Amino acid sequence: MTVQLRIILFILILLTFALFVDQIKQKKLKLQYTLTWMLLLLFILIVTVFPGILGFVANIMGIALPINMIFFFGFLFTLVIIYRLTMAVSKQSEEIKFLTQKVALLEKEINDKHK
Amino acid sequence: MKKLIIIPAYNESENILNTVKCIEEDAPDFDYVVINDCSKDNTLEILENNHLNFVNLPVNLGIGGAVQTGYQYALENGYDVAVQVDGDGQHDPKFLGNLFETLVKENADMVIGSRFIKNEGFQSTFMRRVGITYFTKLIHSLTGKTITDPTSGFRMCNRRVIELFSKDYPRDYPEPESIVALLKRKMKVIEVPVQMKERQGGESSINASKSVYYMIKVSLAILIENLRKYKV
Repeated sequence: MTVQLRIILFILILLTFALFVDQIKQKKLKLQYTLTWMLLLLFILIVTVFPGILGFVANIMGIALPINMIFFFGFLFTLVIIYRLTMAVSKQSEEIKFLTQKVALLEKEINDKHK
Repeated sequence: MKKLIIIPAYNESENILNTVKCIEEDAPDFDYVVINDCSKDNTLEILENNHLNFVNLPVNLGIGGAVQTGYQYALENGYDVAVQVDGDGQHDPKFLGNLFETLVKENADMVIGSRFIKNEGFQSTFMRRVGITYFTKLIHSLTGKTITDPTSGFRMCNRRVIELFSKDYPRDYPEPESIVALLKRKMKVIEVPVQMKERQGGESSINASKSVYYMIKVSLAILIENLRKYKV
């Protein structure tokens, strides 16, 4: 990695991190669902500051090009994030269904009382 | 015994009034509740103007979610028996008496009205029958029980199943999967012959492109349901 790229990445990560913290502060994002993102950022940050790690780990894992390892791990992290989102959606759809049914049945009860 | 007919209705403005009239004539000892699944047409208006007994879902939940609301209504209002009759006029209320007698006589947990015991009435299209036969064989190979019409929505259940379904019922295409859920719990599911009519208006929820999704989704749901373990 060239020095320019490392500086650009470093700044980008800091900005993204600041954005996340700001959004969580404003309660637009839930910390629960941003933790995986934070981990991803931390990973890229470490690699940017100590690029030697990349070559070292890539070598151990038998990955020819260090940059491929970035792709590989980036992909893994993305999958984890998507998986967590799928879990959240499944849970919420169940909750929304339950609430919808409850609201409908309560509305029915109220209407019956007014008759 | 208090008996409830659950009528799920999504865009059934053409059929709903007729369906309820048939029920009032042919099954007077049953109460009914229409579950309006957030219809886009004027189903709600018809329900209100004719003072029908209905529950109005503020969000579209799909057939499973709508029918489950009916089971919850049955549970809350102390019904002993609940039966699903589709809002499109396919299910003839004349058979309800027979379904009920069988439920009581055989002490069954669920009685399914099947088109394929006597093979009378509207027999569905060829492709659908192929799909239905496939589900019959799949359920048989997993549970050892033969259900000739696993996709039939014309089903009556007792209090025990009402309690179960109000908590846990598949959201879309619930029929075959929920039969397996009952069989896995060693509950008694039996079938009686009925005749169904071709739908009298409106549109079926399953078109050609959805049928592939239907087959895969329901197959997987059945296989996964079969992996679940229940205390009997």
